[in-house]
Amino acid sequence: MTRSKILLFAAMLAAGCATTKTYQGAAPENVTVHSSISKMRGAMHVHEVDAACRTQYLGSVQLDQPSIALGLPPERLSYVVVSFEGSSFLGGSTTATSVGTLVKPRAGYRYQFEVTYRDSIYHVALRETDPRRGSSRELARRDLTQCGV
Amino acid sequence: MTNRAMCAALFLLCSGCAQNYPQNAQEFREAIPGAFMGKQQSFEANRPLREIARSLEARAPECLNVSGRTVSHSATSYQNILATYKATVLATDKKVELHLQRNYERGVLVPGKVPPGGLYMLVADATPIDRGRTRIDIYSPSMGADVLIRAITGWATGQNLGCPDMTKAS
Repeated sequence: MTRSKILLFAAMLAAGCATTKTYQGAAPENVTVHSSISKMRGAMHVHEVDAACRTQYLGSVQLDQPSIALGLPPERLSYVVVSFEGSSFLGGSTTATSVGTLVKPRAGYRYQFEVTYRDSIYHVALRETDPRRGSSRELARRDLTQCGV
Repeated sequence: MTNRAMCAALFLLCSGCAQNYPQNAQEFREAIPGAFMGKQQSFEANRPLREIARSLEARAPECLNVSGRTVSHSATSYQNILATYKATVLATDKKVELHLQRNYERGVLVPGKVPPGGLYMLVADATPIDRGRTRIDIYSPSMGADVLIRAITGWATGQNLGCPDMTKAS
């Protein structure tokens, strides 16, 4: 490999690494993500949303375990994107599909994402639970166009 | 080669292989049976039309109004395709229609007139058989639409409300 190719490869690698960072999370851990993902890499990307509906990327969490916990800031709007990424058999192509939702966690409530991907069919559901009453409800997905509505 | 010559060459190339793509759902229905790699299939769902309408109205916009990116690379080529999909559901008491269109935002040059919203890639019609059963007719390519058809079948039967990974639909 020539020097220029090595430099190009290193630059591409660095660029790829620079686009994602680990989401540090907020306290308390009010979100649980249950995932079952087959033959793809799943990740959750967290963005904060300001009053003008502008997003700022905060970081990502790999969905490589059946259950993970993280914190989203209560009473503040976040935009959470779940992505599925895969490569072809010989690595000649990569595909990425993603689904995002706005969520504004209420203080004292718990949130549960259910993420599945099997046979090219995926499902992302979000449920809100009030631990004091034991009641829960499924939240409809709200995309960015519904911000401020 | 000058810019003008290059433009002319590109124009000739495009006009040489220009296609007459279906410009609406009805034209797509009519084109599929005689099309190379076109397929029409039907099945029955044990649910009334109204319930299927609700499922399609809920799932199609959420699952199909998406973008998908495919990056392919080899030793000599690199392709970065970004496609945006648009689903339309038209529901009446007698029929429910699902139209799916695909618009290439990047990476693909389409030689021909693209209808507003993108090229038609699938049309599904639901019509009542009786009060509890509904017939679903799907018009699609014979290859690459498998995941879409499985998803629509799941929505129609109510057995799987998941979304198809549109990067797997070619």
